[in-house]
Amino acid sequence: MSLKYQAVMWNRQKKIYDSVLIAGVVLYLGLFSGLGAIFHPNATAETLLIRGFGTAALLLLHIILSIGPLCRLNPRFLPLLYNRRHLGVTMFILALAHGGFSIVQFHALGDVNPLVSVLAGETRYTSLSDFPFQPLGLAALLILFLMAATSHDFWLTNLTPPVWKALHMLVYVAYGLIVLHVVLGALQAETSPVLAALLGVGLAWVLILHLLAARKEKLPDEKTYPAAADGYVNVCAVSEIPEKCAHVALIGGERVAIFKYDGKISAISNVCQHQNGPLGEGRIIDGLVTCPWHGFQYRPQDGASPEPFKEKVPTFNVKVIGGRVWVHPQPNPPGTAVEPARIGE
Amino acid sequence: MIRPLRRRHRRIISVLAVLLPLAFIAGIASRKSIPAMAEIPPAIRPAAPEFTHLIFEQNDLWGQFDITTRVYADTLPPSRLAVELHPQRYLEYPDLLVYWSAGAAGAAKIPPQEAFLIGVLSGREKGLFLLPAPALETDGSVILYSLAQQQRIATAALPSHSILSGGNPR
Repeated sequence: MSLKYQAVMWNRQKKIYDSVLIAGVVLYLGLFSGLGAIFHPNATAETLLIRGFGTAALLLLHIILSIGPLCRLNPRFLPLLYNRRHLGVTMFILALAHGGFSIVQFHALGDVNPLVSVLAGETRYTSLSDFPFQPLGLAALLILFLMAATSHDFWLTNLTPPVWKALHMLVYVAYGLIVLHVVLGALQAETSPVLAALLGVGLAWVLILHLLAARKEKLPDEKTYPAAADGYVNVCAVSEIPEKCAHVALIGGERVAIFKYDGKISAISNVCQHQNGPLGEGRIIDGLVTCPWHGFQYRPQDGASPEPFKEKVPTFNVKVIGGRVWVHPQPNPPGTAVEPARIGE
Repeated sequence: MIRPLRRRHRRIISVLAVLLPLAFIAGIASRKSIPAMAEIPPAIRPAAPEFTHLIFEQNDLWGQFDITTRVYADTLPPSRLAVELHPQRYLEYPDLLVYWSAGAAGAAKIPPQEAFLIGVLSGREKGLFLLPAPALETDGSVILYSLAQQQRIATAALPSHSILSGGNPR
């Protein structure tokens, strides 16, 4: 579902997104191969392809890992998040091509099964400089395969968003394995400091972005709200909530998005049913709360998507007293209608 | 994301922020210098001071390879010849052996049986190789052969023996 109740399929934005992605990958591989052939005329085509696919996958992985924290830090990056899964699948295909060509080039001509050769060809696990780096890359490739294979909404729905998200957090394990694969592999034989410097900058960029985003994310979770005798908690002043936007607060162990619209206040769960996106960072469009990630929509009064869609999120009882917003921390079952609190009553 | 996943995400990032930079630094610090080709045995290694007379120099003898080729003589007229190969760009081939072969070297994958091994070449290192005595009496070629890849990499025909044995300095 998207803003205008169209199923998330091949809409214009996706087509533009994927066209830019494919053009970028083709351009990168062309430039890499062309410049490689000029500056390394003795390098074979297979070697250039292995290097090109490998560096393209590594660059794309850095871009993918940057999108999430960039969106946390600045909503202007949200359009990049919309189709991030296609970036992930493309990255997996590039990594697979890198791995496939490498196995053919370095392991296919012996009398040992190529996969056995990758795993058992080097066994000096006690030496950093001679560490078997290829099994690290293979392990990362298996994780990327698992993620690419389950990237479709079919798996998202069947696994449920929390399980799906937890599974896809394995990307960080894959990233760690890939960094080690490069440091203990290609960089061990590389005389130029440029590649080591580039990887170091990329690593620092990804880690610093994530730490900054984590710091920003932690703040709402640390704030506590005083509760009255009837159980309602005093969350914020009405004036603190921008019109058709939300104030997000951690109430009863999970985030609640409190929306102000048309002189009313409603509170629903902050967690979108699609990919657990942050509803409170979205806006009310056409009278509906719209998730900033993929445009899933919910009515603020009952947390239900309009027909024919079936998604529902929990709602919260809310009241306004003396210009302050009070929310009851006990969530109502998903889709339960709650009378919005009138501002000024 | 729901709160447990946010916590897990934060923990993963915290662990990676410590471990990955350490692993990166350790990996870079443990790099070995690239092993250089061992020096060729003294018996076939000409001493540069002996060969002071430059009688031939050319930059485009090796096709796609950017190698400067010089032929030196010990005396004029020469009693011994040496060829100097100076790659202008890194030669990305392992175990590169240098042969001299009488006559046209042909196009076979490996050097002819009667070719003389005159030394090894590596990276961008300049190499001075003593040519065998027949080089004064017959035309010949220099061959680059990768032992690891078991194939001839390039061949360059030297000037005719009459030019070389004449020892006319350029």
